[in-house]
Amino acid sequence: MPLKPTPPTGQTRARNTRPCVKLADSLARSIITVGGISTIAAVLGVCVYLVWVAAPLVRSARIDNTQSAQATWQTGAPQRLDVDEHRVLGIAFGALGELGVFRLDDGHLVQQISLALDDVAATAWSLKTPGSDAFAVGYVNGTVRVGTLAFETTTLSQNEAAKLEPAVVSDESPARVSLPDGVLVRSPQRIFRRHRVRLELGSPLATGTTSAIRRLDCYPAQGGITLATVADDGRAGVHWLKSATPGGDAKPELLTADLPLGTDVAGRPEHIVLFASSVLVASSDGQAVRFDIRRAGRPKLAEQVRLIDDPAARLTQVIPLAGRGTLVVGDSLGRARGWFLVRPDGLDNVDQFALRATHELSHGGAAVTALAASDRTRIVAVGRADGYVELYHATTDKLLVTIPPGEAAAVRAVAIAPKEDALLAATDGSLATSTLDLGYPEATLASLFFPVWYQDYNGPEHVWQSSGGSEANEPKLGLMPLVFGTLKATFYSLLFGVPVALLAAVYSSEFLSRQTRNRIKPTIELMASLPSVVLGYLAAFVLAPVAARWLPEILTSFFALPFTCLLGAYFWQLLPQRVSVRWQHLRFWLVVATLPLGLGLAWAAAPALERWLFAGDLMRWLDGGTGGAAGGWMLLTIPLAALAVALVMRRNVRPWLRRLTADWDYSACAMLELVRFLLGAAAVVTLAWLAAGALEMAGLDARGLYVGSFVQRNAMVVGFVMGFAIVPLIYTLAEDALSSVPDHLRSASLGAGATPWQTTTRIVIPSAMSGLFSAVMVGLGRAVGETMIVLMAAGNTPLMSWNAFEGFRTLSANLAEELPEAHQGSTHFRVLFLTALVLFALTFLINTLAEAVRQRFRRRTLQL
Amino acid sequence: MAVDTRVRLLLGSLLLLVSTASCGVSPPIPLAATDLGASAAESRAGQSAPAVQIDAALPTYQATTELTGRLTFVGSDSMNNLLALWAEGFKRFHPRVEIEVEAKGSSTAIPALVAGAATFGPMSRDLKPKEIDEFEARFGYKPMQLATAIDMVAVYVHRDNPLRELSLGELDAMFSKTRKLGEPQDISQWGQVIGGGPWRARSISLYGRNASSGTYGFFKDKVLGGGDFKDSVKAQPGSSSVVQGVGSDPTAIGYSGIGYRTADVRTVALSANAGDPAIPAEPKFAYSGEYPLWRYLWLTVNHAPGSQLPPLSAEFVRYVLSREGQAEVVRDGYLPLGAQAAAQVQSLVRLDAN
Repeated sequence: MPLKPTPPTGQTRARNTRPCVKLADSLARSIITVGGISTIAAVLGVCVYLVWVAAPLVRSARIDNTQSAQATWQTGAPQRLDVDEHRVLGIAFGALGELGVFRLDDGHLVQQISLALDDVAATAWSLKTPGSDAFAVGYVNGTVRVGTLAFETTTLSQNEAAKLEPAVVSDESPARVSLPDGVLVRSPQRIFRRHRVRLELGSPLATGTTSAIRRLDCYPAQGGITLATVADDGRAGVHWLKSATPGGDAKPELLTADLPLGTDVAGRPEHIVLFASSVLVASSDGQAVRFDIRRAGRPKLAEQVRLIDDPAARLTQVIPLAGRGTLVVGDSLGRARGWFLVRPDGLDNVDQFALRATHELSHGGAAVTALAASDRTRIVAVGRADGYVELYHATTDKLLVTIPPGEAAAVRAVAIAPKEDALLAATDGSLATSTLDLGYPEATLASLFFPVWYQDYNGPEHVWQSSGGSEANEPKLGLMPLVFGTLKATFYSLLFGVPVALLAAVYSSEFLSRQTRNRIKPTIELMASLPSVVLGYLAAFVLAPVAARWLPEILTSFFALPFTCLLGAYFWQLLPQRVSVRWQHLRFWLVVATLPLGLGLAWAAAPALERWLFAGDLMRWLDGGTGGAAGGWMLLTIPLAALAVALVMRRNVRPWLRRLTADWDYSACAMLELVRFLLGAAAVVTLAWLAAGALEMAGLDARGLYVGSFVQRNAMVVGFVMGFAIVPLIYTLAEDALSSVPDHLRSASLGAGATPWQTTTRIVIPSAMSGLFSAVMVGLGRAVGETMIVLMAAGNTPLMSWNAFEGFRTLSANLAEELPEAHQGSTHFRVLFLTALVLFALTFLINTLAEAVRQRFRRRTLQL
Repeated sequence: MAVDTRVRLLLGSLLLLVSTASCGVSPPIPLAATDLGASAAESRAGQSAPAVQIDAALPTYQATTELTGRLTFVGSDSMNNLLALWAEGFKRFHPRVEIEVEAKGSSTAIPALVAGAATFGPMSRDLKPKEIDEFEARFGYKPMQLATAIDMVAVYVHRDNPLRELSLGELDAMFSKTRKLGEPQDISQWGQVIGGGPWRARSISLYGRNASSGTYGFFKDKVLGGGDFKDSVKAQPGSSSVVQGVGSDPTAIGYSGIGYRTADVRTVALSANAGDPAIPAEPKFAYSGEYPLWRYLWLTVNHAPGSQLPPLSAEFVRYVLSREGQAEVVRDGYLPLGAQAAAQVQSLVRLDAN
């Protein structure tokens, strides 16, 4: 039987853990587990929520149902269809100049309105104008009448409704009842509405021809209406009608100007459209002429265009989109294209514009027989000869939905309901009504991340300009400028912050006396307690104007400060060793004293430098007005030149000097070192000068690349202030990492004869690498997500240039700025959530990468 | 050690306070006594004598009976101050009425009205079609917008800038990359609008509002003709930070509400077309319609056609459109409605019917 070992102290230890400790242990474990899991769950929850809000963006459009009704046209298929916003009434424009007002739910004709005046037959009517009731009719005798055509909705009280049609009041009766001139509707909220079509036309006006008007367009312009006509005799004209002044009883008269059509279109004009302060006349083989009509009464020929490049094709349809800036042209080969005016440089034209095909909606198929545009957005309906109707978005070129035909008959007219919730398609014998849910057509993955050619732009571009005053405005939702801005902000703030913070950490942990370090560290940490809104305010309203005023001095100080600091260090070496050891504790304050010296040097040298490098005016030089490229390159290449010179010194000069000075005394060596430093500085300047000269010779210019026009709210200011915000973070973590390197490593290194500097660079820093790296990464994370400083000081300009003197807009600042007022559930709202998701992904990616790299460093350190 | 740190903290924050206070939070300095900016600044500083005359024909507000209840406002942040003033004034007549103002932006107004969470939706812009749709889908009729005050948008430059006047076309060419008003050349240097002198070669620094503000959309519609802003327009998060930005940047130009004018900036007279006489940003020209950039500030309300507003809401609208309510408008730096316009607004919600 083995003996129980007796402890040397004579006391037996209690081998059982006390229950209260066990309890605390399990409690702590469960709290930590729950806390950890719920943190992960919360982060995942946020992520899921972001995805959940943003995901509908990629949902495709839906057709909820399509009903086909027997057509009630009396004179063949209509040539134009209109629908009211409540989807109660529609108007079919018949070929003989009559308007058939019909109910949308059952297709029954409610009323027929003739456009004929006495016995003069109507032959043409204007195209639809979203947002305006303006309407014009052309007659067989060459006259026109101008007026309004509108759906009129009046809300009635129950009594008024009962007086019109007693049945409608009861819930059992159908919700829509036909009246002699319209429809009475009971809404689900028991609101009674009377829908009618109101047509008002003025007296006939002569257009300078007596043959029938074949095509007609009208558009309300400043203080009147502009008309454009094509008559059967082949003449085209544009006419201005001033709105009647109140009290003035003069008979309204048209100011008419004939359009000289030129040989290509003359005699065969088939289409006429007013858009973007011009009028376009086209023949059916695709030849077109455009006239600038900005000056009333004086149309000027602007250009001749071929709308169709294939000689076999015929132009079948031309319609303007909402806002009348874009035309959609359909042809007999089934193609549909978007055209708008662009302003290319150096165009010798009356109005500097050129009409260009910018969007290819449909590449082909059965002939396009009908086109219609939405009243609000850039959605186009394309009806084809085989009965298919397709919906496209004219910015993203996306095919939203295809509606198959009930019968294989050509679509004669299509209409998109004003709220974009229904589509009407008329064939010779039927009327099909489809209920639509278009989803979010303005954003596609391609349009979010790739350049898009927006109306009025000269080419495809990345643009973020999410909203405008009116809905007809094309929302521009390119995310790249925001992603770019985020990266730029991060880059510039790290450029300032990381070197300062890391060098400060190295200096204070390795070279500073414990006493001074204990004073410095909390002070720097105190900087972290500055609210970022205060920093933003300081940056925008204090630092930015100062930076603008003293820019040459500030740029010079970037070089003068390190120079004086190093120079000070070499002067310190000149002191006799007895003195320098005794004054050791003063060293830090002497370094501080070099700061004003450096600033003073910068202040004194800046004007000379500005004259030498920037032709005397830095601002103008930045604008590109004066001076050569070498000056800017010089400043940019100095850091690289310094690096190169330092490397050469260390590799080639230092060993040689060491051999040479082996038996020199201390003060002579210090003097030599000073001379070496000054020669090195001169070498840096010379090298930079040569490099700058070479770059200039190569035809490169830093302007427009890394520098450029100076704007007060710029990346340099934000980088500086945001660098200031991340310095405490990086500094604290880095300092901790360096301080936690075990002292025996240092002692061993110093004991083996290494200098403190060698110990720091070869022993301490490599050992602390994982800590230093995570410090930088934490700073990076803060810079990526930082909102307030950027929002206040960066100017929020969604530009894509690396110019340090221009602003930017980050994802986070954009969210802060636009999310509060984005309409909930709109495309804009969901895209903003998508940007949040992008920001999340960016941070996640950076952190994961950082963690992976940190782990590598850590493994290496552990092997030590 | 701990005490040491605390003392240091205290000293540091003191230093911070002093530095922020001395670094440019200058109160708006009154300008000439005749202009509106001055009146706003003065009245905010607690002085009196507003320069804008209130239409004498406006009715004085008389409370017939003292009402109780609760009014909730959800909407525009730029009308926040105005609503606070109205709330204060209205409570003088009806002390037991509770008023709650939630100013999170014009776009929050309609969702709140639809959810029934607000009595009024203050808005500094017109309704968007989508918003009307949303409201109409719920109630079967459209929301009603009541004009309550007039705001002028002014174009500001630094006080040292010699620029006196601009046409809308020139303004468009400065701010827009699409130049829809037809100006042939882009304007990016001051020399293009100021002849000679030291300003010739300086580039123009552009300040504007953020995209969600009503002012942004208004300027985009009126001056840019629906075109696009240049990407280099610095979007400021508030009306006053535009003015502060322009005030501290000698080469700047920016637009903001007239109520935010300070002594560091000057307004530019505007002409609708090149060659027309330029109209300075003064109240009388907004009333006459000659000054091109003015707009209404709205209260959006859920009002079924043909019905009466609930008594408390009706009373508030009557107060806002009275001489007392319009006096608060002037106090906040906006322009009051005329008696005729006020009567028209009243008739929209049938306040004149009883």
